[in-house]
Formats: sequence, C-alpha cells, structure tokens
Amino acid sequence: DDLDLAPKYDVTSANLYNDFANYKLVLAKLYGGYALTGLQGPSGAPDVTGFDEGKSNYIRAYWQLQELTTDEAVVAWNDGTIFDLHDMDWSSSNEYIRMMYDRIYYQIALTNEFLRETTDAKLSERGVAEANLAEAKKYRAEARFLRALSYYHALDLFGNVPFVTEQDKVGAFFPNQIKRADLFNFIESELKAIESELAGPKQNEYARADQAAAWMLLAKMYLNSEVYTGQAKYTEAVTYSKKVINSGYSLQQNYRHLFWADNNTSPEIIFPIAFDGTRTKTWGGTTFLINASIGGNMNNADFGVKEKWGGIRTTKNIVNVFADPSGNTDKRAQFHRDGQKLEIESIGSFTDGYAVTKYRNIKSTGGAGSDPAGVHPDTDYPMFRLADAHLMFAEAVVRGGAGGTMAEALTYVNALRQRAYGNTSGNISASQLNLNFILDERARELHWEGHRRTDLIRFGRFTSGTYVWPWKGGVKEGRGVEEYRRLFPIPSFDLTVNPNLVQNPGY
Amino acid sequence: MTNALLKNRLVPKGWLNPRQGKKASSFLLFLVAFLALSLGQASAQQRTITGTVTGDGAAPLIGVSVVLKGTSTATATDVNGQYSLPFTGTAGTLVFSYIGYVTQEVPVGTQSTINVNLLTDAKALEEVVVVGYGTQRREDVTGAVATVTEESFNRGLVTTPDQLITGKVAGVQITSNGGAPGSGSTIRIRGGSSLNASNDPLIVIDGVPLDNSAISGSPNPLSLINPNDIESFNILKDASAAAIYGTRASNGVIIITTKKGAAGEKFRVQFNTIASLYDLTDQVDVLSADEYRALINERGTDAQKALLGNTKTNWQDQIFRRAFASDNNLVLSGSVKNLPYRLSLGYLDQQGTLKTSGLERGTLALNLNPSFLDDHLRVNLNVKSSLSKSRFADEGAIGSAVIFDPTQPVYAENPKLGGYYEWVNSDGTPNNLAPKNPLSLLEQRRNVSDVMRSIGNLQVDYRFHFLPDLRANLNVGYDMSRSEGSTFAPMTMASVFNQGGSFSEYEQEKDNKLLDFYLNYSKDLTALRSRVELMAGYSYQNFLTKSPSFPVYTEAGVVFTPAALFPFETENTLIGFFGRINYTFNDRYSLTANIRRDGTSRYSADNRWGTFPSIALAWRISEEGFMKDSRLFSDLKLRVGYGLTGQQDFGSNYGYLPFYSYGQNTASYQFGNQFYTTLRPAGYDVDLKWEETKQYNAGLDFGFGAGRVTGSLDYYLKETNNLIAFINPAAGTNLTNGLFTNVGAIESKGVEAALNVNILNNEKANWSVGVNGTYNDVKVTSLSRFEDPNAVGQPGGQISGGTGNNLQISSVGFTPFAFYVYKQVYNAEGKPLEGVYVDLNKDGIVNERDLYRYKSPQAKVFLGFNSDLTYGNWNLNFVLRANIGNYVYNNIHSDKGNFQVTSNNTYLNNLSPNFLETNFNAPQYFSDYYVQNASFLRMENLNLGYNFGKVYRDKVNLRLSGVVQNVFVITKYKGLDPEVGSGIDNNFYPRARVFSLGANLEF
Amino acid sequence: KDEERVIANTQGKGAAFTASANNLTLQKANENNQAVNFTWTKADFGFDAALTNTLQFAVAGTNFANPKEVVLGSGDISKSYTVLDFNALMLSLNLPTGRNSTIEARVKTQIAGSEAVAPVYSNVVSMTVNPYPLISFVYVPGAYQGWNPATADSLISPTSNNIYTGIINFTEGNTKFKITPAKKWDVAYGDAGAGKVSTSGSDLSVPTAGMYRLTLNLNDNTFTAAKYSFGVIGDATPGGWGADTDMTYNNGTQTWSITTNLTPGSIKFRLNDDWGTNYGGSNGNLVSGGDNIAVPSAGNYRITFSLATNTYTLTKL
Repeated sequence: DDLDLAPKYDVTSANLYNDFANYKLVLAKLYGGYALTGLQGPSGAPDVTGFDEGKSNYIRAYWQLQELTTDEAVVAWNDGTIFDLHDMDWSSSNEYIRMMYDRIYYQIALTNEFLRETTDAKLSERGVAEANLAEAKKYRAEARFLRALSYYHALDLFGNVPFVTEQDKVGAFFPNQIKRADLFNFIESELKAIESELAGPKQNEYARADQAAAWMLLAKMYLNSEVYTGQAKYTEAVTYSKKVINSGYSLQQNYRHLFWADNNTSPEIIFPIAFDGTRTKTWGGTTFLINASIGGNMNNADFGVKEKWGGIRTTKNIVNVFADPSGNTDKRAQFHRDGQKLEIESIGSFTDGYAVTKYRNIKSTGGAGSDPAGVHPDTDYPMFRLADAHLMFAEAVVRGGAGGTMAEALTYVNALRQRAYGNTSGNISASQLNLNFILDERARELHWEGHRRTDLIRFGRFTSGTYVWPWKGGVKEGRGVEEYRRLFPIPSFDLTVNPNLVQNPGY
Repeated sequence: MTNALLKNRLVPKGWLNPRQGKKASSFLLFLVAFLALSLGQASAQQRTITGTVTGDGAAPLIGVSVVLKGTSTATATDVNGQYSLPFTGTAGTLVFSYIGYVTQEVPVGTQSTINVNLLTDAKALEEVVVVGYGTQRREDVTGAVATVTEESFNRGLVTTPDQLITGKVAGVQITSNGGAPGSGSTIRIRGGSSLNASNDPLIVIDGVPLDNSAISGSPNPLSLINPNDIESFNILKDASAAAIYGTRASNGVIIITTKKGAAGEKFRVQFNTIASLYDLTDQVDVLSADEYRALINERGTDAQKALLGNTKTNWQDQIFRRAFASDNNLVLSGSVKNLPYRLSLGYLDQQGTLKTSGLERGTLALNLNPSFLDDHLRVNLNVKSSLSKSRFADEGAIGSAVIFDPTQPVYAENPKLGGYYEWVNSDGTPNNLAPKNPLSLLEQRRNVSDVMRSIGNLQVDYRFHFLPDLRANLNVGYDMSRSEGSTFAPMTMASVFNQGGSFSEYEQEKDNKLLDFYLNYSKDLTALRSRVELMAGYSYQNFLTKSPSFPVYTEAGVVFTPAALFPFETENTLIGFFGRINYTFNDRYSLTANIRRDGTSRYSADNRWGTFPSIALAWRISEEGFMKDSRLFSDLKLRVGYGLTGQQDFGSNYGYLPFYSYGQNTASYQFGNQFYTTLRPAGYDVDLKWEETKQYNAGLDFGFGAGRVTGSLDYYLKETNNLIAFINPAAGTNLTNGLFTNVGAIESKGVEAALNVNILNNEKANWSVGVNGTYNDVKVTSLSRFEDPNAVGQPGGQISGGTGNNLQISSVGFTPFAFYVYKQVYNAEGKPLEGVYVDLNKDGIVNERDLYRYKSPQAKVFLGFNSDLTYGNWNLNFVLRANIGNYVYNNIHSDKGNFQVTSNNTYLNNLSPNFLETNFNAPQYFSDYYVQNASFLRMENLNLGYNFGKVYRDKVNLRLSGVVQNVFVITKYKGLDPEVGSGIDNNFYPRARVFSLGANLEF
Repeated sequence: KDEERVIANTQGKGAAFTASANNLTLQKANENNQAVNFTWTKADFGFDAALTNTLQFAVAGTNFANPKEVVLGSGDISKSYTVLDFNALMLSLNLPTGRNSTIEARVKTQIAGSEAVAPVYSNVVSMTVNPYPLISFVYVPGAYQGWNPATADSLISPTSNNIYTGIINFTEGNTKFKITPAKKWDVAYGDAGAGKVSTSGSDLSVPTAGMYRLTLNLNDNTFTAAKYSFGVIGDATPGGWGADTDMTYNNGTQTWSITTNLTPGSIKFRLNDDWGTNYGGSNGNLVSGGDNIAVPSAGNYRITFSLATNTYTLTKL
C-alpha cells in the first residue's frame, strides 16, 4: 500500500519494545525529561511546545515557581509574566505556571506510556524473561517513582489536579480531577508499593532512583501532610527521614562542592538530576542557575562559564539569616557583594540585591567543566540530598513526631552546622532548636534548591503579612497577599479543554 | 465562420498555444485565398504588391489573409510571412486579417512593397480558459476563474514569478516577504481557510503540482523558476473550479503554463536584457549620534556617559548599499520538420541591498511538443531547470544596526575581533549581552548555498482512431531539487568568539513524483442542442525529503556540535481518483460536476480517504431570446457553485503514528558512568483526518459596449470544519502538550469585483484600464471540542522584546490573529501615559482579564488598478494596489522606543525616536498604542516602452523599456512598510525602489 | 489611532471622604467596639481606571508631610476600625495619651501600576482623638536564660507605638538572643545587619557580657543595644568611693536592686560607673546630682532604685 508510510529513522512502539536494549533508552528519557527539553541539546525538537524551550526545562520551571515566589530569589528580566511570580499576583494564564503544569503532565504521560508498554502481560508476550525480566521490573519501579515525583509536584503546586494513569489510553478524553488528599494517598501507596522493588540505597547506578530517594519523597510528603490533607503525620516523617539518614549516604565534607561540576562524586546527593557540558545540555537546569546568577562585576572564570546572564539574585532576608554573610564563618553563606546593593530598589537591575554564588561549573579538583564553549555546566542539580533529611527529621521531632528524640535532632542539625563552620563554634544547644530556628536553618542550608515555597507555606509565612520580603505583593517593603495563593491556579487552557476540572478557589 | 469552427473545438491542455490554433485556421484561410485567387482573373495594367506580415514583435505570421478591399482579389502569407498580390490601378486598400490579431487596413499608394505588423487582439486569446486537467471555453466556465496572460504581466525586473501578477486579480493578495534577493511573496486566494494547515494555494506548472515546502538554501521555492518562461497564470478561486484537485485545493489553485514552440514556426531568436538599480528609500528611524549623545548626557548614568563615543556613525548606511541586478534571457524557438521546440536560457545576477547578499541564477527551459499518428497522438515534453547560488547576509545585522550606539566608530584596533569595534569586557573578550558590530556580522560571516531544481513532465494525449471524441491523457512529471550550503564564521567574529568560530553545512534532496492519467470524452449532440464532456482519471504523487546530518565545527576544525545521529528523511504520498462532467445545453445553460476521492499517507487507514464533490451551474443570460436584441450587454452570465475540498498539508507526515525518536548525543542522560541515548515517544492522534472546506460561490460575468467593458462580480463563502489545529490536549492525555488534531471551524466570506475598460482603440492609440476589488471577512467559529464561553482563545504572535510575549489571539467569533492588547490612556496633549490602561472589566485591577481584541492584520478590502496606454510606438502602463483595514503592531516602536533599551552600564543601545513622543521609561508591549493603521496605496509598477521596429538592416526588431518598481506608497503607518503579513512588524529590511532599463531584440 | 482616544483627566477628581465620627475618646474598656468607619467614593481620572487607594493620617498642621499610610484593597469603599486598632494607629502617630489631639485624614488615589499620573486626594477630614496608653511587650529568649521563650525577659512599649525598650543582663558566654512578639517561637526577630532586624535574621548578640538597654523599633525594624548599669558607690559600700557595686534590674517592675553589706557612711547611685549621671537624695526620694544618702549603721541591706518612680529604699535585713 503506497499510503502506508512510517518514519525512516524513528521506531514505532511495536518494534521498539521487541529489543530489550531499548527499554533502558526509554527509561533514560523518563529521567532525562527532568534535565533535557528535547531530543537535541541544548535545544531542538522540544518535548513541550508553545514556550521558550529553555524556560520550559523541568528543573528551571520548578525552581522558578518554588524560589521566585519567595524571599530567596528575584529575576531581572521582564520576560512575559515572570514578574508576577515575585509580585505574587499571577493569574491562571501565567505562562510560567503553565510551563510547569505542562511539563509535569508531560512526564506523567510518558511514564504512563512506559508502564503501559511494560506490563507483565506485554513483557511475557514479547518473551522478556529471567534476568531481563528482573531488570524490566526494576525499570517499572523507577518509572513509578518518577511518576510519583511529578505527581508530588502537582500536589504541592496545584492541589486538585487531573488524574491519569497507565490504565487510560492515549487520545482525546477528559481526565477526572482528583482531590488533594486523594492524590496524597495515591502517591503514598505507589511509593510504598515500589519500595521493595527499587534498588537498595546506593545500589543503583548514579542518577537512578533507589530506595532512599523514595524514602526522601515519603518523608517530604509526611512532613507537609498537614498542609496537603489537613492531617498531621509527623511520626511517619520521623520514620522515613530516619531511614534515609541510616541508609549509608553521608554528608559531603565540603559543603560548597555539593554544587560544583564534579558533584556527581558526592556521597550526600541521594537523587540528582544530571547535567553534562557536552552530553546533557539544556538552557534550563544548572545552565540557568549558573549563568543567570552571574552579572555586574562578577568574574565568569570563578564559575567555570564564559557568559553572564545577569538575572537572578536574592533578597536581604536570606542574607540576614546568616550572622556573617561574608561566608568566612558559615561556609554556606555564598554571596557576591562587591558592586551589589543589599536593598533591591529595582527588580530589573541585577546590581540591586546580593548575588548568590552557590552553583558553579568548576571542579573540586580545579578547572572548569567539560563544555568547550563554556556555557553548559557539568553540575548536577541536587533534588534530594541527605542534609534535607537531617532537617526534616529535626522538624518532625520538634513538631511532636514520635520515634525520634530531641537529642538526635540536635545531633543531626549540628552535624550540618559543624560542616558549615568547620568546627563546633556554630553548634546550637537544645534550647535553641525550635521551629523558627529550623526554618532559618533550612534557608541557610537549602536555599536555591527548590524548597522555599513549600517551607514557607508549611510555616504559615508564604501569604501572611506578618512575614514579608522586598517586593512581596508588588510593594517594595512587602505586604501580605491573598491566602488562596498558597496554591497556583490550574492553567486556564486546561479548564477550557477539560470540562471536568474546577479551578482552585480565588482564581 | 472560422471563429465558430474554432470555438466549437474543445482544445485540450497543451494545445492552448494560439500559434497552433492559427496553424489550423491558416490552412483554411490559405484554402480560401487560393480559391479566391483562382477565381479572380487578371486585368489590364496589372502590377504586383509584395510585403511581409509580422505580429507579436517580429515573428512572421503564416497564413494571414490579405484582401484588396471591396474586391475578390486575395492572397495569404507564406511560411515566411510574405505575400504577393496582383494589383490594378493606382488606389485601393489592403485588408490584413488573422485570428487573434486586430485587423489592419493599409491604403495602397504607388509603392510596391507594404510591410505590416499586426497587433494582438487580447480579447480573442481569452476565448479558451485553462482549467484543471484540461481547458474549457470561457463561455462555458461555471466556476470563478481568472486569467492573466503575458500581455498583462507586470514589467520590470521580475525575479520570481509571483511578482508578475501582483495587484492584477480580484481576490488574490500577494505580499512581498522582504527585501532579500529572491525572497518572493506570500500568496493568498480569498484569504485562508485554515488556522494551522497550509493556507498556500496549490501551484501547478505545466501539469506538475509543486511541493510548496521550503528548499534548503533557497529563500522561496518559486524563485527557482525563470519568470521569462511563463506564458499565463490561471487562477481557480472557488471550489467548483478547484475541487478537481481535491486534497490541496482548499486555498485555490494557480495553474502556470510556460511558453512553447509552434509547429511551422520559423527559427527565431529573442534576447531580453534588463539592468536594474535597487535604491532603498527609507531606513528604520533611530536617534542620530548627536541626538543620542544629548539624551545620554541628560538622562544617563555616569557609567553610561563614560561609555559614549566621540564619532558619528549611521550604521544603516554602513550595511545597506545601492544594489545592481542584471537579468538576461535568450530564447531559441522554431520547428525542426514537424517538431516544434522552444529553448530558453536565463541568467540573473542580483545583488541585495544588504551588503554581501546576492543571488546568481541560471535557468534552462526546454519544450518539445511534436504530434504523431496524423495528429492523433500529441506529445508535450517540458523540462525546466535552474541552478542558483545565493549568499545570505545575516539579517540580524539590521537589528544590530538599528540598536548599535551611533557614537562609536566602525573599526577599532582589535585584531582578535577582526578589527571591528565591539563592546568588550574588561579582558577584551566580547560582551555577550551587547549587540554586535553590524558590519562584522555581514563581512565576517559567509553563508552560501547552491540549489539545483528541475521540474519536468511528459504529457501524452491520444485521440482514439475508432472513436475520435475519446482522448486518453497521460502525464508523468517530477519536481526535484538538490541543495547544499554552508555557513562559516571565523573566531574573530564576536558572537562566536567564545566557541572559537563556527562552520556548519547542510544538504537536502527533495523529490516530488507525479503520475496523472485521465480519459476525456467530449461530444456535440447537435440534435439535442447539447455539448457533453466526460472525464475520469487517476493521480499519484509522492513527496520525499532527505537531509544528511553534519557536525558544527569550530574554525580550528574541532567538532563543536556533533552531527545528529541520523539523517532526516520524511515522505508522504497522495493518491486520487477524479471525474468530471461538463454539460452545456442550448449554448446557454452549463453544468459542471466534479468528484474526487483522495488518499493520503498522513492519516491512518481508517481516515486516509476523503471524497470531495463539487457542482456548478452557469447561465448565459445574454444568449436568451429576450436579450438577443439588446445592445447594452455584449455578455451576461450568472454562475453558482458549491464544492467540498480537503486539506492535509500541515507540518507532520506521521502525526497519527505512535513512534519513538532517538535523542542526539548532546541530549543523553547519565546512568552510572555511561551516557545513554534517550528514546522519546511522540504524541499522536490516531483519529487525525481531513480538514474539510465547503465553498459556495455566486458570480456574474458581464460585458458592455460590444465588449469594450467587461467585468465580473462574485460572492463567496468558505466554511472549514475539522480544522487541523495545533491544540493543547487535556493535561496528561497525550505524549505531548501540543499536537495537530481536528478541532474547530473557521468561516471566510467576501465579495470580489473586477472591471476592465478599453477606453481607446484605434490605429493610433489603445488605452485599457482595469479595476479589481475584494472584500474579505474571516472569523473563527469554533476552537475546542466543547464550547467554553470563558475560553479566551489560542495565543500567537510572538514579538521581539522579552521572550514569550504573545500579542495576538484567535478566538471564536473573531478574526484570527486579532491583536490582544490593553486599552491605552492618553493625556490631554495626546501623549500616551506609561502603564495607564483602562480597567475594561471594572474589577479594579488591570491584568490579563482586561486585554481586548483590537483590530487584526487582515485587510477587509483589497483594491487593484492598472492602466495600459499605447500611443504609436510608445507604451505606458502602471499598476496601483491598495489594502484597506489592515493593522500592524509596530514592534520596533514597542521594543526600541523606551529608555530602558539603553539601560545598561556595560554597553549602550540606541533607541527609536518614538521614545521622544512617548517618553516611556520601560517597554509597554501590550499597549494598543502600537497597533497602527497600515492601510496603504502603493504604485507597484510603472513602465514606459518604445518599439523601434526593425533595425540593423531590417534584420532585428528592437524594443526598449524603462520601469520603476515600488514607485511610491501612501500610508499612515509609521513603520518601514505597511505590508506586514503576520501583523507584527519587527522587520528592519526595507523594500527597495527598483529602476530598470530593458531591451528586447528579436531576429 | 482611528477610534476616539481615551483621555485621562490627569488632574483627576479625588474621592469624597467621610468619617463616621470626628470626636473620639478612646478607652480600653471599649476596645472591641467600633471606633470609626471611613467611607469614600471612587476617584475619577476620566476613564475606567484600576486604582490604588491609600488612607493617610497625619497630625493636624503638618500638611501630611509624613503621613501614616494604610494601603486599601482595590475594590474597597470603606474601612472600619475597632477602638483597639484605631488606638494603636493613633499611638503610632506618637500622639500623647490622656488628652485630645487633632489629626487629619484623607484618601490618596493613584492609577495602579503606573507613576505616569500624579496621585489625587480626597477632601480632608479633621478629627479630635484622645488615645489611651497601651503597654505592650516583646520577649527576649536567649542563651542567658536557656533560650526559653516562656521564661524570657521582656521589652516594653508603654504606648504600643512599636518602640520597645528594656534592660537585660547577659551572663558570661551567653550573649546571643532573639526577640519574639509572644512567649513562643512562632515568630522571632533576628539580626538583619546594619542595625536592622527581621523575622528571618540570625541570632542577635551583644559584644560582651553585662547589662544592656535594648531598644527595638518595629516601625523601621531597627535595633540598638547599649551598655546600661546602675551601681551604688560611697564609703558605705564594699568598693568605697573608688568602685561601683552594680545592682540588678527587674524589667517587670523597672527597679534596680541589690542586697549587700553596708558600713556607716554615705552612698550614691551612678550610671555606667560614670559621674555624668548620678543620683542622691533623702527620705527615699531621688534627686539627680543630689546629696549623699546616709547609711546610719552597719548591716546587711536591701537597696532598691527606680527611676520610674524616682524613689529609693534602704532596708536593713
């Protein structure tokens, strides 16, 4: 039949899955969907369309929603509706919110497709057996982890969202909306179901998920359960963060090396999103975090790149959580202050606000990363790392979770501070270990790692007028904003195409 | 009687050439002349008058009737166009007549030699109209068809065929794509009927449908055809005319025929040469060096003041030039025994007004059209090839020139950067954020391509001996191109300094294969006062595109970007079955019905076949009894038609298939110590199917004053359903966030009118004028699978300045791509107030909900006016064109007309003087202030010619012409050019005024 | 432009502004009642504008040179204050308590998001207000007392004008602290650098151990810590006239005190071991720079000193 034509160099699903070696390449795309934006690095043949490809990078989109909406970051470029994020007056047609939404559901759809194609029945039908069968089951477990991770982001950012699984077919239909609490239960059950199928901690290949990654996600879910479901689960948070702490990962000796080009050698990073200057290139990810944070009189060579995008920096609130912002005492304080003003008179001016020098494309052994043009870093994004488990454990204990003691919590917190100070001079006493301290310590330890919005919401500071930062609510001194902004709106396009969806209140 | 015989023959395509028709009629005329000669006898005092009769320049005419007026003395011209007639007496008048030419009467004096040049009778040529898969008598045509022949073509330096007919046809809009050499135009017939599928009309050259998609290394696919080889354009505007082409006819069909040799024609050589000068008439408005220096000294920071230079540079003067072009064409035509041939060689050398850009093109066209088997077998062979070399200047240089600091010099002591002035960091490396030296962008980058294209077909038409009314026609054709190109930028070029220079290359092969076959049966049923024509056929087309993958290298030859893992290859196939019935009753009632069933490889097996019928009726009112004696109307015909056409031409060949693609090396993902190629599934819609357009047309053709005034009036309505739209599926339901599927509807309606008046027609002078107008209204009627009254629409229209800003929207109930903006508020002096907009929904806040649809880029009314005056040996003609109701978003003002453009302490940017009017500090992209009225009147073409007649001892016919193109434009629009098809003007490439001098020699 | 342009009346027409009461005597007993309700109409710039409204209060006669501003919601046309809230607002203007003051109020209206058009103002409403004092406290949990907010010393704002002061004794090696609005950790002010505090700041601290007067101004988030100690000096004291014997301060009662052995002789009270500020007196009343206070007989005495009441006591134990 002359009319039966197929792509010459691509493969149809029917053929692809007959060769078991291809399964891992599809899995590589599921993981790569967080790091890459298309089939070509840094851009080209994009996964999602309608946006600037670089901005639609999963990590960049997530970072923008989690950080630009808080006291941790502002951006200078007036691109589309990006200023609305820091001003906290976004609407349901905000493109940055939509980029994240589309990216999340792209990941979920791809994962569902992989799960559809690797059911026991299909594996049997294709003759996948023995060692390959065991490997395929591992792949499936990891795919379910990745789906749970993306659904977690949907839960955290959007609340009540469309719900699709591998039981649904590809095509035109209207997914039903799932309630936030029900989605919480789904994610929880998925993670527990795959727990025994994932590789043990540190037993999987680098950048692939292991049990500790699943435990981290569960701990985070439980720590925020009161926000997500109204029901506190601090005891479970203690349990799972402790599992992570005891899983064999260890704190990186030098805090700063966690964010440098060879951070793939870190013993602390539990679940990285891997980037590479020649083989995993993007305009989002750490390319954005490094290049966009350089401007003013900063020296590119110190960061291992040749460009200065002059975009993102921080507010005085984050500078002030450090007693000594020079970084000479607490190594986690990494600010470029020369030529930068602490006060942000104008959001559009890069020199207003201290620059954050945390992410770099230089190796702990010296020298820049592998990109010969000096744009794309090798630095991996630490989505989950052990320090967060330390702080989650401490917070859960302070919030009354059973299964851990204040003494343990203090030990875990002081381990971070001892690393940061280089000695015990920064250690705190039990009387100082309180929720306010923990929120500040999370800012000191985890700033610019995509946690801040979730933390501020949990601590009741995100929309409240009692805690403000420069240009919060669009006012230079900062003001309180509407409480409904603790959730982002469902993008209006999906309400248009899916009659089953109800918008989040207030939008 | 001769005309009647001719009109009664249905002449199939390929036999259109009037010279062939003339051959048949000349035989008859010769017979008449012979009889007349035999009957007439000599008388006393007889002498012989001899001479030569020529037409269409210097071509000798065979078989011209030469009659001594009032007598039976007659003869005809021979194969050399010469005659000899006995003459008695001292006074009389010779009458020269020939079909298709104006009859001429010449008084006889004492001379024995009388030479005559006959002028073409334009009206006669229009008797036969080219339609899909054949021809039809104009009187019988039921659809909306417009014809433009060579006599009506625009004059001057014409580098692409579409320029020949700009402004000439109602309902047809041709918009230039820009100033670069060979860039061509966008063609729309009655607006478009699709949102995402192609809105381009189908173009058929000598029976070969073209693939409109881009060819690597060539700015415009039609630019590879030599306009000098084109004989006629026939435009099928409505479905009843176009439906026979089925799949690709939703946007109308343009049928191009090329010139051919004529049997019996004497060997002839024709040489045309045109030399042209391109002169830019305008530049983008920017501040001068003095103005800019004053502004910075007044408002800039100390750091900015320190950056100012001490010179004056007009950067646009640096990058633009007067450009020269030379277009030469040599035609050899004649007949070898009974084999007519025409060989055309063309050479075009065109400079671009942007320095370093240029196009060099050689073309060859060969036509052979022999006949065999006692004229039962007619063969038409066409081959058209072109070879073009282009150098593309980096048009980003224009953007750089507009914004580059005018106080800085062109050159600097900077060998690392090629000696050009650049903004640099403290260590001497280029400042990445700053604009680059425009001249460096032009002179240091070399972007070249070589393109070969060939279009050809072999058409065989066989009239059966046993049943002469039955014809079989086989057409085998191809359209192939081969292109390759490369771009080299040395490491001294600032933008590639960090990566160490850049070299990249590409190649592309495109092959389009065609096979058409049809049977045609036509019969005059005189007893029933009927004429019937039946036609049935089959069509096959295959489109294949291939490109190898190449790495990008640095100047040192190191691989900077690895080659893609696989070459690119994509293919699609179209198969069609078609039929048509034409029925004419009593020479006044005509019916045409078409049916086409098309299959495409772009849809799944369940959806790939579509059936597309059409029907049309025509009533020649002027032939009715009650009109027979009327002197008012020379012609009056009413036409109505309906047709259904399909569309499958959108961006993807495999949109219904689930397939996976391999990622490149640069998009691998790390597992452990290895980087794995990623395998990504593509989104798909297994239910993807034909987009369907219903078209209704009602028209009136009329003539007054014995045919000196002719015109037509049409009303049309197009409804497109199952729009192939690029939509966002509900989150999580597909493997992509955007894909092509069938959703939505669009409606387009309008009125077309055309009027042609022959004001003067005598021996001394002939003057014709033509007026055409179109009113067009397009609306989106549906955009989603279920109606949501709150849905805003589909955004579009990205602009310069801040990535991701969409200024346009397509919404239900509105024109597509309407501007979606805020309502600007002004102060009492009429100045816009920065950031002050109307709260249209009165909710107390100005946000996305206060955007409103304000105007659209689509003009409502299109007008054309042309005039052609011949006085003696002089000829003057011009074309005027107007669009009314189109608006343009002036992105140059919105992006460059605010002080923030220059807001940087490490480099300086120039501004648009619009800043001095608005005084905006920050850009206000969404203000409706920037949506400006772009209605215009343009004089497209002004041509003055003189025919010297025979020179050089009567061996050569010489005609000179002078042409000005883009003579003037009248508009309120503040930008460079009001004709911006997309509606968003961030174009900096001005259109040039072109002055040409041409010579035509024939011998 | 082809349509009629929207012309803004850049002079604008301000809102019409009213207050439900113009004469207010505020009393703590009524603190939950409504004190006043302000209403205003929509200002007019000649077109449908998105507006930002701000309430401005100022002391009469200052022509709103330094107004207290309250940003209002974009759709609001009225705002009501309870006695408690309005009293706090008045105190923030530093009005004296217990007597009448005259203030002025108006509404400022701007076009939202743009500074291209100058603001317009409503009519001015004059009001007579008599606020009551409102003492409020913030607390200083720190190392000096085991970081326990429940038992932390406090700083006081006698008029609740967001300016708090107090005296804290920081023991050796325990110089770090934070300031909380309540006796719990939910919100805590820390060091924001350059003499500023913020709820995200790190620990505050004083340079060395000792008594300090802390001053927190939440109107501009500034903070100061100044050394501050009163001691007794005189031949009746263990240090004689050569050295102060420092007393301890109680924030709650605003009283300095010490228990020590005295011999017959005289004593005086001195600030920061310096004669620049010293107190003498007689019969339990303090006099700045006054006469020596006699100690008639040897014994173990409890000495108290209070500038709030301008009294001292000598009590033999």
